[in-house]
Amino acid sequence: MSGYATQIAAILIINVVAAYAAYMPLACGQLNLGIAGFMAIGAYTSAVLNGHGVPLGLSILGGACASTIAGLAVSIPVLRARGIYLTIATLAFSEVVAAVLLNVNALGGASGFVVNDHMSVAPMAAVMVLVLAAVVWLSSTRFGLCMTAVRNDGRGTAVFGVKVRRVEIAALTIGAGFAGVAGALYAHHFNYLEAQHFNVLLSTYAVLYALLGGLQTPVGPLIGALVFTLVPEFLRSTDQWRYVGFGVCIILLMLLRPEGLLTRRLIHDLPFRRRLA
Amino acid sequence: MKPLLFLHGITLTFGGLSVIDNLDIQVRKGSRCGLIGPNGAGKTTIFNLLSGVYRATAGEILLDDEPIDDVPLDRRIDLGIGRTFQNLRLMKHLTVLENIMLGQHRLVGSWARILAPLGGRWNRAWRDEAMEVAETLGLRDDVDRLAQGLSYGVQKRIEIARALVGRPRLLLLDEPAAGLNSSEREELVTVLASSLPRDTTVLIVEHDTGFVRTLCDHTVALNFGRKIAEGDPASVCGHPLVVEAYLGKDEPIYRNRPQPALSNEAAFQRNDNAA
Ligand SMILES: Nc1ncnc2c1ncn2[C@@H]1O[C@H](COP(=O)(O)OP(=O)(O)O)[C@@H](O)[C@H]1O
Ligand SMILES: [Mg+2]
Repeated sequence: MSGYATQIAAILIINVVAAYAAYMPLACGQLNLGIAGFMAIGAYTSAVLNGHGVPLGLSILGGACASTIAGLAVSIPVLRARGIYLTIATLAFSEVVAAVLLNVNALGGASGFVVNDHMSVAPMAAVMVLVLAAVVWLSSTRFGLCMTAVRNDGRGTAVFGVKVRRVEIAALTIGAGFAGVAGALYAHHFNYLEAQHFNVLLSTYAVLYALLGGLQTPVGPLIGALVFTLVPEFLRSTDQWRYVGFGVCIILLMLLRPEGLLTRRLIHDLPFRRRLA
Repeated sequence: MKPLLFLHGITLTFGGLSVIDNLDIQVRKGSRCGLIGPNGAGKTTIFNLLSGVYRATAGEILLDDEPIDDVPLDRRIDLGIGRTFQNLRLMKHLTVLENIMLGQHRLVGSWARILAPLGGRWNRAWRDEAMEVAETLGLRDDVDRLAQGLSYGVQKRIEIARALVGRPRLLLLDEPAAGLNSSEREELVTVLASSLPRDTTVLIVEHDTGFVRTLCDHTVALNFGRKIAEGDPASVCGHPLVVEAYLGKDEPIYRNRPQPALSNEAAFQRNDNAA
């Protein structure tokens, strides 16, 4: 692969994992705009561990654990708030993380942090497949059923004995873990971290990939991240117009497929599915 | 025989307005008890009190001699209280079978089971049971379809199936026949008469007197949150106060009340307001 293609592939993989971080809470109706904060926690934890001689794989695992714990710690108080307040709280959390990182000199502060071990695209892809498999599996269980039910009917799902808050906390926490993985992958592929990278735009894109891909199936975020990472690249030749083209694509999609690119109904209606039935 | 359900002096007020007014109801174990009364009488509100959506302002609810007022919403079903919703409350992004299996949630218990794939070996028994209930309710051909966009009658039956698979001790059916045409209605009576487990106590809100007479062994009539008549279904339906209550509302009890088939979206919105 050329340097350019490798770069795009790496970014794509990171975006897919980040999209799943956003997908987990979205799948039960919670908007987490603090993805970047959890990514930063994963990235810096993994980088620091690696810097102290911990092997690459274990460092990444450590980063994921750190962001998972952070996710749990944040979601328990924050999920008392609902809807827009939850979103604002996660956004604030993310800003606090970035501000702290920017001011801790041991982590490079404003001048950035160099990461030791490099990770190439192939093992990154393997990690992405693991994340994807985990989400597909979770979606196929009663836990997945509960997530969809909570998204469709909110607290009303409690009538069926579903512990709504526990489902929400679990989803946000697992999502935070994925964000940590995405951050760690970023750290070890680009080998350089800057606190400013983990900003609200990063979170917004992760959410966008999940929403545009569709929340109804576990494959939606993959499609969303794939399409909306590659489209701007194809539009690159049009230079300054590419963001206009990208914006138009998003608006069109929202108009034509408000539930995302991939829906369960679409899968149901696929021609070969019908022939099978 | 001692009652399974005992509502004792129940009062519920919303902002000073009393919706349920010092109500006493006793329901025998294994009974099929009809609950009738004109729109706004407080029937659904009683279901909401029983399933923990509302809390009574005064009075006590006993289930098998145990007070349940302090039991929160998500634990009422653990007591064996299952219900359907007048305005349909299906999960639009789940298939019919998945919707039904959601009703088993309380019985499933452990985290290990919750994390087992629904289509796998661990869930076979649950799946089979859900399929069986789906079949008795005539949903066999619909199990793999998404709940979104199915006909009103089908959605009503999914609600009943979902409540039944939770094996409730006390089953609350809120207008199960509303919005169905007369043949669908007859079919539903037959199905319910044969498929409701003997030991399940059932409370049924219905306007259709034929339905109540066929299915119920006891009936309570409400108006303005108060009990106006009680006894065997035939005499309650003919009771002068009951007839008057329905006449006063310009809704003859003997005619099938037309019910606009709500779109799924509208139904969900209405439910959000209701609960
Ligand atoms: N949450 C609420 N706030 C205020 N009033 C309510 C609420 N829920 C029900 N009511 C009122 O209680 C009365 C009984 O409603 P309901 O139990 O739904 O009647 P029905 O017998 O037709 O099922 C109605 O007048 C309704 O407006
Ligand atoms: Mg009602």
